[in-house]
Amino acid sequence: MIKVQMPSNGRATGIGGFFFKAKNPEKLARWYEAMLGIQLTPKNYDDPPWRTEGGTTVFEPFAEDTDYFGAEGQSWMINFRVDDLDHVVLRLRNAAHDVHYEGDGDPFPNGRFAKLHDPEGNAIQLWEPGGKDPG
Amino acid sequence: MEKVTGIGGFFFRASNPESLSLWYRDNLGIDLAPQKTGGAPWVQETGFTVFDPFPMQNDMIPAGKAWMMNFRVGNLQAMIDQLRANGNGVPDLTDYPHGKFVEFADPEGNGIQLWQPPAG
Repeated sequence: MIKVQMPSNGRATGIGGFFFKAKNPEKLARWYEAMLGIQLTPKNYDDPPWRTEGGTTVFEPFAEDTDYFGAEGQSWMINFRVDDLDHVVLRLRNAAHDVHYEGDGDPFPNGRFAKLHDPEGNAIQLWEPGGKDPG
Repeated sequence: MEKVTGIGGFFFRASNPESLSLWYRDNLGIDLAPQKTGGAPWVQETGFTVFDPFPMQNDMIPAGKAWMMNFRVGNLQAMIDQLRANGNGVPDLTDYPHGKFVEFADPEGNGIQLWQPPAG
């Protein structure tokens, strides 16, 4: 039985970082910068890191046997909000990445989605918020 | 350049997804996925996000795990007090030039870092 106790003043206000294991961290970070515009982590405390906009965030544990993340050994998937999904998908496809629109690109009640994997096989979902969810 | 503007979701495998999502709700105030409950989603504030691939061998991400999440908080000491009151083992915070930090793990051993950015 889980004790339900809503936080009074201690509430996570956002995602301040995401760290994940990679075979070639530097190369992968440069891929995220080139393909998705995610700034590299600064080497010092004077330069600012990537600044993310606020908005709707679905933080959700999935069943161990989910097939939603692609490969069996892949333990996570991250969703990035985008303003212009088609633009980002085109760039990725031009760089020879396999990108699939979910629902054939037709809008879901909360926007449009596409999925891909980064060069190390990590699952990525791109989301252009819309409809009931402005993001 | 058209860039991604933020993180709209994070999905991860869990032995017990339901109880773990309740743990995040009750301990960190992260609302459940609206697709499941019809309720309001968790809404992030604008802020800095360090998105960083790590070497396979590192001393940050717990052994046997592939990722670690950093959450921003407004008052880290209040959050630590709350976590401890709920029975979680959490060390004391550490003060750095770029804010206050603490690291611990969720009930399934996933690494969590909490960060209170400096004021201003």
